Amino acid sequence: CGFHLRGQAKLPFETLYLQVPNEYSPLAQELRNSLVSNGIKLAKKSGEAQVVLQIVRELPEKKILTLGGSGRVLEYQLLYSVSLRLYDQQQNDWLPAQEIVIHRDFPWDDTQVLAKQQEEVLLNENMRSDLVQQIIRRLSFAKLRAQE
Amino acid sequence: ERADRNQPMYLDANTVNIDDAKQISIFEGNVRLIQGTLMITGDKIVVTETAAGDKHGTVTGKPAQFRQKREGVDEIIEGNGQRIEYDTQNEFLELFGEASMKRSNDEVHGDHITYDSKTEIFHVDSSRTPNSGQRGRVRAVIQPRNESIPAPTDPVSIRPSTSLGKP
Amino acid sequence: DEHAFVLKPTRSLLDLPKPTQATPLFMYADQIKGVKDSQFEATGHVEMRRLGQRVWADYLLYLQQSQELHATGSIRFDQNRNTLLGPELHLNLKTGTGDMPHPRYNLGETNAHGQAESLHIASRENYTLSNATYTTCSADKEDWILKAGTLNINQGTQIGEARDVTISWLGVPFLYSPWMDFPLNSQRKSGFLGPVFGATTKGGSELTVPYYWNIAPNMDATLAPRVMQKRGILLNNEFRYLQPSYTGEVRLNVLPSDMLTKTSRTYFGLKHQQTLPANLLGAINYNYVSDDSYFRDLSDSINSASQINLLREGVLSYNDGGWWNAQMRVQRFQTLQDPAALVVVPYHRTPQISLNALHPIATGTFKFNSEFVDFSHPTAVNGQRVVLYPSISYPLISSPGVFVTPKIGFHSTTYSMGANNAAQLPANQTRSLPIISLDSGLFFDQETSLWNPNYIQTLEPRAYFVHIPYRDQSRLPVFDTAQAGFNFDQIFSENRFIGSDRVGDANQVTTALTSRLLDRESGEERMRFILGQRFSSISPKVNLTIPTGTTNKSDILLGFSARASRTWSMDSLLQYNPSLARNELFNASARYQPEPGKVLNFGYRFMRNTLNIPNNFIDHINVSAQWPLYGRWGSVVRTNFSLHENRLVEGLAGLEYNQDCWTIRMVAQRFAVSTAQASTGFFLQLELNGLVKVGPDPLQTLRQSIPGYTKTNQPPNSASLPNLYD
Repeated sequence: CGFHLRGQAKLPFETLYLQVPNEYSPLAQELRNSLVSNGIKLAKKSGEAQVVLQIVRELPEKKILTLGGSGRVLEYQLLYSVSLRLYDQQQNDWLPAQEIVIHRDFPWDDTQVLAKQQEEVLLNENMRSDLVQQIIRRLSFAKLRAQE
Repeated sequence: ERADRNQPMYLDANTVNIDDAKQISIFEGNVRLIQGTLMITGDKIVVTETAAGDKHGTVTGKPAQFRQKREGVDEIIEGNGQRIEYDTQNEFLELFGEASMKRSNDEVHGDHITYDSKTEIFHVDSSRTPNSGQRGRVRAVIQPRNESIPAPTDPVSIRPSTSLGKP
Repeated sequence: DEHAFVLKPTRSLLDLPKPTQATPLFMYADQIKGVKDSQFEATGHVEMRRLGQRVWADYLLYLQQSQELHATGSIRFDQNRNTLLGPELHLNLKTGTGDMPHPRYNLGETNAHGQAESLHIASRENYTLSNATYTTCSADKEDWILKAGTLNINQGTQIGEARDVTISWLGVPFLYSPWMDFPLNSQRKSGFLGPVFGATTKGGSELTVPYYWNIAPNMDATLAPRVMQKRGILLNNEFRYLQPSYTGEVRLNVLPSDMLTKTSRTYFGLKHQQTLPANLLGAINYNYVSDDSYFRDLSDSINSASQINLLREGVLSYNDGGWWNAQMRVQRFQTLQDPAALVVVPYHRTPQISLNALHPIATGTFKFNSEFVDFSHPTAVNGQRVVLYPSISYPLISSPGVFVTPKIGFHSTTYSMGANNAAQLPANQTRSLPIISLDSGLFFDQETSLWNPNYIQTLEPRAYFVHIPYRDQSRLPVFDTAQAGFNFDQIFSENRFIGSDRVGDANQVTTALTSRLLDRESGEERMRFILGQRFSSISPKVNLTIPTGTTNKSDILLGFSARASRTWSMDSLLQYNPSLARNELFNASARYQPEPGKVLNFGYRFMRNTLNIPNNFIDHINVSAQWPLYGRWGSVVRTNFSLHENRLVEGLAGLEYNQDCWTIRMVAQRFAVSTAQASTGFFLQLELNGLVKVGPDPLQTLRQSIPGYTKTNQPPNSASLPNLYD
């Protein structure tokens, strides 16, 4: 079948300005590192960049997934959603506003609170790198959309 | 002002045409009629005189204009219209056709204005029959008195008055 | 006729400047009569205009001296975007005061309208009406009406104040109050929020009347007294503050005397976060509750009723965006014991100091994790632990198609035991061991896929090798460590334990094959298939729980998720144990979402209770939905049924009817609080838009718990009001 080794995934732009609600959020830092390692020059100001990647919202959430008969929580669901948009200096959309939602279900045990807290941190870290990978992949498919 | 009615009336114009029999005189060409503080100007004045010596002038012009000092106040009243009728006997002015009158920078505009200089009462109305449903064409612009109203202070939320003051 | 009441006042686009100097007055009429300086009389289709004010009348008398205006005959008076209609109007243009008998009014900004016996105009923004009605419903369908002896509309403060008030809804008077104030628009103004009537098994019938107090632009409070028939009055209070450098919220709920337990019960919660100079960030999260069954008895939300360990934590963290950051944390818990299912109290970390660094070296990365923790516990062994774990990873090959990344690290831990050393663990112990791992993977793409040209299929094999030598750790305490579950995140991490008290010996390779179907247009992942298994050359000696089946092949993990179209998506995971030929874990869920606001979820979740902790066995079916019903009715449902206990563990249903000027919400809920008890409740909330601000509604928690729910009518002031039921 037609499988071949993945070639250089060229991002369709060279310079990008990353606009995030919180400069120091771990997602923003990991996204910067990943963009740089994909050969993208990060601009200091939005004016200098060919395109602007705007992370409109970054929302980690934790919801009860399964409640046990004992009234105790048996499973939590961690969600990490990011809504983003990519546009150029003329405000034309390269990536229309879209949302990426990732989730992890993980069993909860009230007798192991400290361990479960650390597991939660690990899962959030993995979700962040998963999100960064998906964002980079979406960016590689971005192109100047015909203005409808 | 009131004393005008006892003042002599002067008239000048480019040409005069007097018909003594009918007591009608027609003045034409930048005509001016002056009696005391009253002055009327226009292109043509037709003056008729009654047996008792009272004169009635019909002034036409583009527009015909009149000015008069007001009684006891150092202000003038002026007006214009396509036609002005003036009657010395009862000091009554009527302005017709895009008439307007200005008194201490208040203005009124309409199709027909009547002004009684004795009582200083004027009356403005539009030529169309009243309440024909359209917006009245009579217009008045009333300038505020020169003192400025105090800037409204921040609205203090006053307690609602329980007894409503009747005007 | 042109003055028909339904005529909407023209919206003046710009806010007219406050007239400081007087402005000329224009008058149109069929006839105007003037007397000297003092009077102008206009008759016939009279219209008077001045900056920001317009009057239509049949007859109008204007006294120039006193600037008084008297008008009669089908008056319409527009001012400050409000419209007043009546038979007469007496207005002083200089002072702005005036009166109008038998007025009908319409407040332009919110279309609130009504009529009254008389109106006194105190200023452009301040009106007082007597025997007045007020509603925001459309003129032809006035579903709710407020009748008041006196009603003061103050558009300066945007607050309406009414005395001797009766509110009727659909013709039925249901509230009388001697005094009441309410916001005139939706901006953050103090005012009552939608009252909630309810009935619960533990509290009897109840009424909550929340009041939102907008103290300042960056400070607000919600006071929600909740009168419960069986227990008394629970005062729920929440105070929030937001400053440039710090923000926080304080909650204090007090039930002075619980009629059932004859005790006073309180909950106190403080969340505070502050950015400090020198890149420091401080945060406090403190919770206190007066007795263990506070939430089980008094809370109506699952989130709080299911809380067992109340967090008490202070954190100070340093992060300059650079390659390292540090954190100091003091953490304790208040553990709420349920006599039927006692729980081990977790260790207190007083303090925990951690320092982490990540620094690139050439193309590799140097990583350093370190932590000092002083563990204290009332009964279990106390002790201090220092962990130092430097590691270096260096990608041999790092191209888009291939990656091979070895990593070597040295993990060293030292313990010094403290009090309660019942098991006489040696006072000082150390454990140090190398951790060697090699992560490698390939990425294959296939442009044309089997059945659909506009997809790209990927094939991503991955192999992750880990070697950790065995160290006897049986004499080491267990402070914060537990056996990790078996999932895709865990099988690709070095240690099969979570926490630092145990580092599992390992000589294993974890293999996985991932295949994705990507949308050629957007790059969205339409389908994902993962297969994973771990092969170990040794059977693990370091264990916290008795391992089941000691063959060298681990369970098989199989994950499949698909998002076939905008409307259909599914997600599933299977963990199969080949040595015992049984499923350890299986869950599958499907979602049908034809359009925003309509979603249906179905899920089955199974997890074998390998650690046989009482009632830790998961065999649940859950169904949840957000669906508009006939007309303006909307419904929200969430159910969670435990098959092996044959019991509805969680059942919530909500109905919402949304008329343009009022909304009614009903919620019925029943969820397990302990093995024997369940909390059942029914709540009804009536919200009269414009009169009562949109506040927290019982449906909100329910809506948010439905996966895929769309935020339909976000309350106008979407500044997230405190959720009463959180």
